Amino acid sequence: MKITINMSATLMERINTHHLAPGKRFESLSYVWARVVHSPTGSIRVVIPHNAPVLFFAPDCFISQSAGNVRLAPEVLNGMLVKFAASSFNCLVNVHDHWFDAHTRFSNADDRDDLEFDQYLRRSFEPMLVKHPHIGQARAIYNLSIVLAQKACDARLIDSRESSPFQPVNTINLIGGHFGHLNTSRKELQQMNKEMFNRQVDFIPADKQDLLTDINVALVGCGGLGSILAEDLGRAGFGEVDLFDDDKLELSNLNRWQGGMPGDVGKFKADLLAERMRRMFPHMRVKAYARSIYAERIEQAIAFNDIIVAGLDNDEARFFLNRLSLQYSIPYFDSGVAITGCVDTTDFRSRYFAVLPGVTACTECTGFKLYDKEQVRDASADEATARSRRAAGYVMDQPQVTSPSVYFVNQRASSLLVQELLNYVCGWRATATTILESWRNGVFQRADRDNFPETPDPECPVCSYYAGAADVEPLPRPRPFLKQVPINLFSKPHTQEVHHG
Amino acid sequence: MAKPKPIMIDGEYREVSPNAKIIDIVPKDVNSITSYDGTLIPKADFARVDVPHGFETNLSAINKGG
Repeated sequence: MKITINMSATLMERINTHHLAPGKRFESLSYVWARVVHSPTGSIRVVIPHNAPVLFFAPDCFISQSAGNVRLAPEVLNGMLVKFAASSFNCLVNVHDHWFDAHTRFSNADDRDDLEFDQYLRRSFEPMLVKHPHIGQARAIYNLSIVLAQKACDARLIDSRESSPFQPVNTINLIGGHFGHLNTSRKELQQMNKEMFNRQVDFIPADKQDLLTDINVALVGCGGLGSILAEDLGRAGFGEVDLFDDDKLELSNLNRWQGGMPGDVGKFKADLLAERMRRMFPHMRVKAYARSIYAERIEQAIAFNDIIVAGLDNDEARFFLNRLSLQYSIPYFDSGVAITGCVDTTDFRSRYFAVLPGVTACTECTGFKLYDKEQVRDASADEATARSRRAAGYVMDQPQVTSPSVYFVNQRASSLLVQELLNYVCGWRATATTILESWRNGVFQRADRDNFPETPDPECPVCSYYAGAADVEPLPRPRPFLKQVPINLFSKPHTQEVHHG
Repeated sequence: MAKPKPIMIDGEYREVSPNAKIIDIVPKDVNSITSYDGTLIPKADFARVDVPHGFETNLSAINKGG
């Protein structure tokens, strides 16, 4: 069972400041409320967004607090648990520190304390919720423990009902201006990989190259742009890619679909791309999902990746991925192209944007207009609402037209994105949030965290209400895929989709 | 080091960091402010930063990837 925590770097910094302040000579305890989701394969992801509730306690909340021990007063602990019960969170994260250590592991005393608290949760607290639902909805509660030291931390899930009650956390992704990644089980790069990447070692140092092999990328869209993005990711050294696309290759795609051959026409793009990727990069873990991204299981499959990369043809999917990015705290990188004008006015334009949950504005609250918001909202509104909105003039019907598309412009868009993605991981310079390139006008406009330090709008519902909601809130699916059912917190399916592909 | 930026709040002269945003300067309980030209700025805009000068902001038509 793989356990990953997606945690806001800003929140981690606040917690570190509280626990590891210079000159502090006593242990502290704090709590964070989070959400846990399960993958169909049994992996667990803990989502801790920038606005997750954090409880720091005043000194009089403890019945004892010394250099190596801390204990909350029972009435404070119970007060906190009652508030937690009334919330929609399902994971209690207790954080304590070994302020005296640079690197640390859980001690025997930690084992005893964690088990004691977990037994209380299982034997008293969870049954109490079943018996008194007015206090809070009965649900499975996850008990996570983090111990901080000056230069590292350790984390584990606890379940005292299991024969092995401690399940170590494999990875902590820190979602900040750059990508932070703490891995307790990282393996050394294999010899073949070392040689393969020796021409990039000057700017991707060995530890970052190792890190790339640990990162799982969800590549959404395996069309003209996606086919180039996939190869770019493989050649950069990313270790795992999940490919999502329910389209089949057509003859008219062959002017731009990297590696496409006439004999491939009629096959699913995701499957074809996966096959090629496995041949090119035998060390890479590649999975193909030739189904709509709006299918519920596909949502989970995307949500269990560390980074989302998209090369899409429609804005409804961008609207969907923006929400998915915020709800599961996953950085989202997107690129697109447009060919405008004709013959002597032709322009080749490429665009890139990134959403770093809790750090940057999302596609809904940024100062850049990345898509027509009325159009995408209309696409996911129910039939009656959509009719009313059209009648009121909010949305205009737009004819479906075949857009010009060509290989070399897709290459530029892919290059923009992968260069910035590597920058996000390696930290060469401030991460770009938006880039525009226009060939005709000789324009290259790069907005990054230095020249445009835009933060989430506090009134943006996606960056506030939906942040960290994981699967508690349904994602905005286009009308043909959406049949709303009553929302039931803590149970998985809120939507039923019509699948195709 | 960059020069401090002079500002006036309620007639009082102050100097602030050249990178300061409204949210860094006004007290936390202020919900809106009126600028010298009478524009009302709501709290949601206190932390807003302008898109760099000259940048094209409408990128909605550059959306193909298939």
